[in-house]
Amino acid sequence: MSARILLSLFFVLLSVLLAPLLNGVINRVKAIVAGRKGRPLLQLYYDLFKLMHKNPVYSHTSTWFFRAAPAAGLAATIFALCILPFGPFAALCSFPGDFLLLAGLFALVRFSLILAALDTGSAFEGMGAAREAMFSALAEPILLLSLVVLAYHAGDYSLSNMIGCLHPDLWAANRPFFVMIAIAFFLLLLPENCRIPVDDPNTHLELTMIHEVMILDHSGPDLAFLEYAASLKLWIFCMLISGVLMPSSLTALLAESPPVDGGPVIAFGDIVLATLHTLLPVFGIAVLVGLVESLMARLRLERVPQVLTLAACFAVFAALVLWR
Amino acid sequence: MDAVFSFLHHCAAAALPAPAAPVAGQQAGWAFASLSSLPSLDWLQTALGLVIITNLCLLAAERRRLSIRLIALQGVILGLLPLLAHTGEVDAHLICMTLIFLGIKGVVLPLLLRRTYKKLPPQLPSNPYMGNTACVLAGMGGLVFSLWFASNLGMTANPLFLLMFSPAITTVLAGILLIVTRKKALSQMFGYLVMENGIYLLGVPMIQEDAMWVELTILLDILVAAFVMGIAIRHINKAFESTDVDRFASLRD
Repeated sequence: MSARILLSLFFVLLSVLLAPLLNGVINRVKAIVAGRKGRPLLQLYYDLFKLMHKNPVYSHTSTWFFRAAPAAGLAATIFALCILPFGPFAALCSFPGDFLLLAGLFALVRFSLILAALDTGSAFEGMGAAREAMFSALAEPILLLSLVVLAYHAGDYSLSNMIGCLHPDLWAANRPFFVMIAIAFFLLLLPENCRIPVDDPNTHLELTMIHEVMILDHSGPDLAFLEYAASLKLWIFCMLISGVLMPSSLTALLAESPPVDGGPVIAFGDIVLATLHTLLPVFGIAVLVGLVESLMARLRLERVPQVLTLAACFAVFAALVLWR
Repeated sequence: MDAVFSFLHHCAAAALPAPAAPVAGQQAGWAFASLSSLPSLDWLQTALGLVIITNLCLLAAERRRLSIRLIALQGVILGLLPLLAHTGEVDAHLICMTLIFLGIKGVVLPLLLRRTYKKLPPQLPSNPYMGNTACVLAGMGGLVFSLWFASNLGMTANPLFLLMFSPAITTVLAGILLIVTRKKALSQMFGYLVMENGIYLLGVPMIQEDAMWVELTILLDILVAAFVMGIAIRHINKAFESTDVDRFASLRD
């Protein structure tokens, strides 16, 4: 196994390990703004650990799909992580057109979640599934548009080359374009990850829930899988934004190094630096999400398309800058 | 922030005539040279980007209080434009001009609007003729159109004018859209002011030629108009117990 693959594998594992920490950061920011002490940073880890040791409860109406959906969702999300570059380091598996696969995997997660929610036979969960389907139908084209514009800019159709190999000079020449795409991604992050102002991850009121209502009937390890998949999805979005916003000087090094098989060409210090360079903005975005959640009220459901319109506007702005 | 919105620079570059013929090429070169000699090009582009974004926010805004704040923000940005678009020495005349525009556009007009707004009884926001989302999308369409228009106009004018042209047309279109889609008289007045902001943007490039005096007279006219409209809206509200222009249909007997 070459050093590059090992390195990519290490970064996938790092992402898998660190993802639940994002929720901790968001909750801590919310607590600090509200003047509370807040729950521990590692709370989601404790929750996941606790849930993994419980026995799931299944209703009589549910079928095998209800049991399979959480695992399928988690598997699809982890696979999405494998095609995502970590900063300047190429993804574990990268091929032309993998950005379509990323969107497709998100769709698969959603599809399994919605079907599992409908499978419970509860009208309540059906309502949540309907909402999720509607908003994601609006969000998906915007995500694809942003990714297509990025692909057009890079002249390459793999995520690793679209957002992984941004040279600082190239980035500086097209600053407004990247900032617009990052804003579009951030505006997509909020509805896609069920954050305020679209959905409130803390409430269990029937009128306000979208994501929470769909996972209401899941319990035990199934619920842990779903929560974990949700935090991984948030991580993926943060990584996308970080990738667009943070060009790395290491890309130049990677590009110049020979097709890696002859051992590590890049110095260890550079790798650590690039990792921090990638992780810092990821947690910075988590802080930003926490601030948005603290300072904004949840929008009425009928207003959610307006957030998505704004995201679409920024994506189109970016496309205009590029195509003129 | 300057980085965020300097995309307009690209738009301006697109708007410049392509160097096909030798003469046009010469002019394009001249245009680039004189644009880059501008001391605050980045800030100017930021300001123009912010104007476009405030336009879109105005189209999306449902509450009139927010609209008034956005108009004040747009007024402050536009008031600073003469200073940003100026080449050469900053003299007392320029500073005086900037202060007048800043005062009228950024302070007096929003205060007048606020006064009218406060005098009206509180009302629920009424549904516009066209939904807010559709309005924002139409505003984006306006931006695309103005970019296309600017690149197809084939003008070889003042390069600053070419830079300002698309944001100006976008602003005028946003103003027209606000007027035709809103039901409340006050909201239609916002559209009127935004449209005037667009026309003002077209006039800013002429600042070196002292044409700002013409702008100033137009602005004073607008000020009087805003004042009169404020009074008229209050009278309309008294007569019809609403400023919803839909209700004017009840005038027929």
